[in-house]
Amino acid sequence: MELATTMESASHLPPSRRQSMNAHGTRTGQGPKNGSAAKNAHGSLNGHAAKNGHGSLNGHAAKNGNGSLNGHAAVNGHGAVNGHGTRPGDVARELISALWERSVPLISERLNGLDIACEAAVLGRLSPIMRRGATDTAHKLAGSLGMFGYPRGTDIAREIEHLLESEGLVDAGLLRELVVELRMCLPL
Amino acid sequence: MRRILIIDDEDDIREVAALSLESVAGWSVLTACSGAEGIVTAQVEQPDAILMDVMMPSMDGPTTFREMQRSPEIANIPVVLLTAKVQGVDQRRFAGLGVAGVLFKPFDPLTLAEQMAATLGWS
Repeated sequence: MELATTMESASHLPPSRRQSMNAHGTRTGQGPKNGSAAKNAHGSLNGHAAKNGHGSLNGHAAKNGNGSLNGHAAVNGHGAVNGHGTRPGDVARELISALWERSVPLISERLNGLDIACEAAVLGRLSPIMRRGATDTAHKLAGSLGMFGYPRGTDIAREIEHLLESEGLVDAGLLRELVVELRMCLPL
Repeated sequence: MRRILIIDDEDDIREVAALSLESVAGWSVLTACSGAEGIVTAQVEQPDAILMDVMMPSMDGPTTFREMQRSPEIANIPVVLLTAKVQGVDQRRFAGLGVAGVLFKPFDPLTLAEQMAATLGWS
């Protein structure tokens, strides 16, 4: 997963389509920028937007156990560059990118849930409870994907939600098509 | 510094909203993962405003809001609802509750604080 670094200028592009950063935390095309969002061999992020093995965020934009940010990422609310030459938006982007990586298993699990509902619909075995669960799942995906920079994912998830909420039998073919399209638009 | 309480059962939404308000606006953020926990946190911490999800298990946003209105010590704290429901009928229903405003998911993390400030009339 590449780290998003230009959400401000391309807020509706998925992170993978924004300015790319390689596995060593080096911003491609702009020379090295190690330490801002370096990823170590254990999958954790260090430095300005670090994420430790416990899922918490440390370093210059650290997040404590109470859900608040500490240290150098604190800003005055006027968009000023802080003492480290880092704009608040940059810090937020890096942290959101790290949170996306942490959310990937949950997103995958939700997509798997939709796959199961899809198969049940194809077989004519989509029970009301399963349908309600799939509707909730689609609703949650619709509410979160755009936040991470995947507005197309939100649109498709919303279509799935509306399809499942509609009266009568679910169009299983359309449901399958939408779920496949949703999966394809995400870098999982 | 503004203090905001975010109430949402979804970890990813809660975390992105929190870091957005903290790192972009410099606000202080408290979090709760259910309506019941949110009410207690609000009573103890007295935040300046509450950002609350609509769809939560056991006690949803509107129900939690009504409970808050029955508690004199937190009844005056402005509440902004956060919802992925975009249909007009839902919007009118939420607005009719008497909340300070309604914001929609997915939100843009870089402008969430700005939207909240505008909704609450904060300069």
